[in-house]
Amino acid sequence: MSAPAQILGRRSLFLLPTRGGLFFGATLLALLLAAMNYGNGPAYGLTFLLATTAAFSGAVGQRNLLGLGLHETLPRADFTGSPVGFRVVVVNPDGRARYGLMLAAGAAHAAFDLGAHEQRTVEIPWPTGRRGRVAPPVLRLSSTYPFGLLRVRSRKLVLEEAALAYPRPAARAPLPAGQAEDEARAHERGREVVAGGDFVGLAPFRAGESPRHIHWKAAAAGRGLFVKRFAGPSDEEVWLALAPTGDLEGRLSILCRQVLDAERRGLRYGLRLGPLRLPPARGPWHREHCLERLALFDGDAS
Amino acid sequence: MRPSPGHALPATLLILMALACLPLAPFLPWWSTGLALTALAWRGFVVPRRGLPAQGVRWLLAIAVATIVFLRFHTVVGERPGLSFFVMLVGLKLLESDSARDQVVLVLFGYLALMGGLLFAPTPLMGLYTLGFAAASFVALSLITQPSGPAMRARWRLSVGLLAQALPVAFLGYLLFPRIAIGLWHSVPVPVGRTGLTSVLRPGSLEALLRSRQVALRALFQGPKPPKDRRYFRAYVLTATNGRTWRAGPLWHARGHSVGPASAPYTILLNPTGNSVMPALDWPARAPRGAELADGDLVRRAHPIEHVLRYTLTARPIRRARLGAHERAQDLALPRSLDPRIRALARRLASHRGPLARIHRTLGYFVRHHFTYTLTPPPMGRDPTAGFLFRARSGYCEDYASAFAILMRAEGVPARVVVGYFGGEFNPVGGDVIVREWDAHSWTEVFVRGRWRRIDPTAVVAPASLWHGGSAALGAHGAARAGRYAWWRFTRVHWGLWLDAATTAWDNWVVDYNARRQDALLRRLGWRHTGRAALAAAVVALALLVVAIVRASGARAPRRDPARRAYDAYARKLARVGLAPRPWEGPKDHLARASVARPDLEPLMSAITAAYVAARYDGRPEALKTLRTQLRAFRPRRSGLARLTRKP
Repeated sequence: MSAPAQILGRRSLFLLPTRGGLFFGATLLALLLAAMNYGNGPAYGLTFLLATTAAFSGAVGQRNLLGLGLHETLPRADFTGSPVGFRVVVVNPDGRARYGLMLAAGAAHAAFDLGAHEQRTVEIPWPTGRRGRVAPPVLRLSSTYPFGLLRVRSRKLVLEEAALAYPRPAARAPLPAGQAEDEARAHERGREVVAGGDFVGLAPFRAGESPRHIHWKAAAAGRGLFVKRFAGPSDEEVWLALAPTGDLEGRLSILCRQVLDAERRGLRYGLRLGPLRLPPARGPWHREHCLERLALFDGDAS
Repeated sequence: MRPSPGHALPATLLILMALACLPLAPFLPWWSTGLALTALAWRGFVVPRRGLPAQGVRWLLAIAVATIVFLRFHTVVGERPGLSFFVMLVGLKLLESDSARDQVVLVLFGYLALMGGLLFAPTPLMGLYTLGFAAASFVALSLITQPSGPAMRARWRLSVGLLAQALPVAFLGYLLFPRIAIGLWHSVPVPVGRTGLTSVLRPGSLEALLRSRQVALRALFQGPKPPKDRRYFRAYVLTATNGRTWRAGPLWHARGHSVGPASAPYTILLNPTGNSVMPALDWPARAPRGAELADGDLVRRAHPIEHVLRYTLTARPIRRARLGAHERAQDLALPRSLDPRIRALARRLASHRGPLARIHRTLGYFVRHHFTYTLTPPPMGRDPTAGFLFRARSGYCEDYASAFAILMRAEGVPARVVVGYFGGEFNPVGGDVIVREWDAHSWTEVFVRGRWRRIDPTAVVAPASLWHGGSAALGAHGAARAGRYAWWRFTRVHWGLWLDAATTAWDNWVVDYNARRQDALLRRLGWRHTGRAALAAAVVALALLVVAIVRASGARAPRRDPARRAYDAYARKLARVGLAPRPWEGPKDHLARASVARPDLEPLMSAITAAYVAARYDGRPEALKTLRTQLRAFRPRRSGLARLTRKP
């Protein structure tokens, strides 16, 4: 993991007025004009006091960000269409709490506070349009603390790690032939593989249970309502591969759905993708590995 | 069930808005501040339960408000109509504010409303109020824009602390900012609730003034202050009378001038009167800048006095003059319907030759006939002069001044009535003389042997009443209470003097700090070139200074944790023996590695590490002391083995 760290130092902070700050400035101008028009001493005093206090609040705002450490960490991947998350660990090195922090990239932002010595992983949701690598955005940490009149902004934090947008999973996709045969065989034996596990027997139906699990054959035979129970992962193996024809994204979507389904059912599944062979395995790590390959696949070599 | 939008405004914001509108209340019609406060209460108590009023209702209210203002004032331009309208708009804004931006706009409206209050009442109390308001406003801004931020106490501390830091810089800006008198729009803030002297004198016209404790003016004498019985502040000279009312006559160009040694300069801080008269001791030697010496030796200026006015004068003891024919005729003119008894009396008193003797005889008439002074004179009848002279034989200053002037005229001595202030009270704290409305007085001036002379018949008849001033005249009720609550009176008087001194300083330095005084002050501080360009440059420099302060103090590295600093020192000592903690090593990991490398150092190292962990992570401050003492004892040396291996 690459981790460009940025410690916010004196040269990396900038002060800008917020919209409210601009309104505040306009109000001060109106006060000053009134003071000049009426030659009113207290009004001059009020104007200068407000202006100086607002300016000094900039120092408080800067100290609110000063010394914070920003460390890039691995982004969160997601399926195309759902936002991925770019993540930064923000570290407060000292005993002062920091308030009203905002990590932003364009319109996307995350707001948070940091207690004394606290560190926090902050995630910026980032929309995905296409499958593949999502280039990291340029992030800035900012805050309008303490009065919302001035915004202290950090220098750009350039992230290095791209996030992955997995293929959007197809709505439904049958598992490949080998597996389908198994299923057919299971049917013949009066077994059914539905929700990731072996059929272990029937139990009386209770209100609220999914009608999909009802043993309709038994019900049709007039033996009453029973539901099928399943347990444990299966040792069955299946190889998943791209369909031979069709548009690449559509085929990847189907493959993605198959990976998800196979993992959900607890099958051991392997992935064949162009020249790549991932031997059958299961578990979240294997699943991520497969999805990552799907996300990055570009050659239509099959 | 809560209404869908988050309708609760921070209580601080509601209180702030009330604080912004309250100072305006005495100066605006009751219905305008009343409506604003009603809207405020509605926002605070009804809206959180019932939700914001519908948009239609708000529009109706806005139209109603505009209509009321227009019907009452026939305009929305000018201070009172404009501010009435504005205050009610603030109320309406409260009924539609929901977002954070709306709330910030409300705070900004609050500043504008407060400015209105400052325009009407630039008093020191209002100055303090403004400070408090500013602190509360920043707390409100903090609550609006940082809803999840620190606790309330911390917000107040921050806000007050920043204000305190800003004060000196703001004060410099206040001193240096070029005081350009621009007239973007001209209008007259009406001083409300002040009675003030008028240029018309009729029986009873001073009565309201004699009950008012309000300060009319303050006088600061650079030299020794004149004794009380010489402190006659002239405001109006009245020459035309119909026997009942005295008015200013036609203006004649004044001829002649005042002579004699000039007194030390004295300065007057005059509270706004709404007219252009500047009271002065007799006889003003020269008009101050921006004013003129008008007929009758009155100091006036072109514009009405709308703010506290500060002017410096010198007085001369003698006023020489030559009366023209018209002027003489005017100063001898008698009311058309003069009671024959007055003519007869005048003839009797005028049997003496010289005018001085006539004056003495006339004053003596009052004494001989036991005239008395009273604040509640009996009714004088259709001819007040005759009623006073022959029936009532008691009255107050305007009766004496009027009757004496008419008698003198009937005796052939030119005479006129003067209205102004007499005496005043010396404030030992501020060193100034405070003249209040109840020091209002009227007296006469007679023209004798080429000189105008001041004659105060009231002082001859009832010197004590004058000496003690209007406050004593307030009557027995006050006197009875004074005995019982003597300590309270003492305290009040004592604090009153301090407050008054503060007010004088405030008027002197804040309210009346204009371009001229700015120039004078900066010259006194040794600044030779005080043109506007130089001042503008100074203000720009000050602004840059503020920016620099902000940059520098904002970038001050945060103080590191003391435990961490001690641990860093420990690490530096370890580095000398090649055992510095590596960047990724936690203190315990480091201890494990270092103990293997140097078992001899292990006891002290583990003690230091334990103390550091306790101080830094377990939040036990007492461990810090242990850490420091052990750190001092920690003097690692290279091991013998290391020394051996290093030798070639």
